[in-house]
Amino acid sequence: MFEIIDLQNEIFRPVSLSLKKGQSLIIKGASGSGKTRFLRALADLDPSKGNVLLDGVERSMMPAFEWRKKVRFVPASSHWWHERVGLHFDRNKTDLLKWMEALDLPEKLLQWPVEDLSTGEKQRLSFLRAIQDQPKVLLLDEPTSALDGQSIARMELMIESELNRGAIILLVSHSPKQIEKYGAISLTFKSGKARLTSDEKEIS
Amino acid sequence: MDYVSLSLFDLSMAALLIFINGGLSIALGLGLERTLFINTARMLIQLSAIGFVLKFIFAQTGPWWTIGWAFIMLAVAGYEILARQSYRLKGMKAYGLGTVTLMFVGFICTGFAIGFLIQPDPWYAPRYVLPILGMILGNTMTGIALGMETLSVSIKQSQAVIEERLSLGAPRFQALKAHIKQALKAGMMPIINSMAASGIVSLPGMMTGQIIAGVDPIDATKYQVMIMFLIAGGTALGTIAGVMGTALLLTDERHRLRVERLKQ
Repeated sequence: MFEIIDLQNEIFRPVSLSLKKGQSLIIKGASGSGKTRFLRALADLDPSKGNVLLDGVERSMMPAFEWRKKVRFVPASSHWWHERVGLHFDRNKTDLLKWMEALDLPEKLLQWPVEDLSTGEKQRLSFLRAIQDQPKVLLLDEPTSALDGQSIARMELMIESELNRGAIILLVSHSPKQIEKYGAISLTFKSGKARLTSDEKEIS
Repeated sequence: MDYVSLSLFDLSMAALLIFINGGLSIALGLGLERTLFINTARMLIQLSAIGFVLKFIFAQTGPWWTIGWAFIMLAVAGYEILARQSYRLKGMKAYGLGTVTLMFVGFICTGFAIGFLIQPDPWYAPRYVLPILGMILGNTMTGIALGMETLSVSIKQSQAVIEERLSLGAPRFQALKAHIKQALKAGMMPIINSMAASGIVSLPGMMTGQIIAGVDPIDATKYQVMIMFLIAGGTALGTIAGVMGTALLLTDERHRLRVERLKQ
């Protein structure tokens, strides 16, 4: 259970909502309306007022880095710090190769220097990097923005399987298909003000 | 001690070299003559003033004049650190961090040298305390300024990478590790390099001065070595404190990066 109570900062007005295990939420709105800043505030990367709880535990009860291991923000464009791709992954811990196959990424990419990756490869790999320690909440900022049709379909399957494992996913998206698929509940930002709708009915 | 005292005539003859320099600048159209003139004048005024100030302080009995002057040196060195930053922390913290670090390091190192090594009589003897403090402050200041500058510039440039590491669950010092290392190196390299070059290319200023003043070269060497150790130790301590302090002030207790606390 992921509960947001009156979360706000100087960019967006108070937001309250709660999501259960395996539930998803779509975040819509024009660019600059506060979507990304909302996700950043949830991951505690930007200061905010209000409260966020995961499984009944307030985030202030744990160090911020523990919180971010559970509530993971994945930005639209990824950043890398080691020279080689593979160094960003813990290969013993995860089903990395299986996942890479599912996203149509050849294993040899792990040996490559990061700068040789295409934007699309980076985006898919950064998603895998973000899920390798199985966070309970995923905050995805336009996770398919750099992908073509085929890769988008594979990424959506991956998102599906994360939901099935019980992850709670908040997803910024402009794609009508994704909005239909994951947007049973949606949050629409308009110049910092958020409107929550559930199955097209406004709830707050 | 015997040495040849310089007359005003000697000094004005030496000043001719500056006029040659200025003449060249005009002849070649370098446009440096104005800056050259202003900075020469500054040097002249500052050094003459310090000559008289030191003469006055040396003539006093009691530690307060020495201590007072030490604080003035500290305040100026602290400002110099601030002046060398491309990005500064907002508010008094910018000045406070550099100055407090300098005070901590300058007083520890000078106290150590005066209290345990030289042990002059009286303990506050300004002719030992002030030059030693000056050399330590001057060098430590460079290390702190370079370290802080390197860290704040690299954090500013790598904001997105650092935040990505924080998002993936790294505590703040782990996310900043590479940047902190780079900043510490930048702060400490000048003094480490200057230890390797000293004595071969040029004699360090203090040693030169002592030798001209008639001190035995071996004694002058001993002083210089002690000063080098003090400076190297002080620079290391100061750079670590300045860089870690900057890292702390650019993050917060929730392990967020707070780049907005910097201004250009």
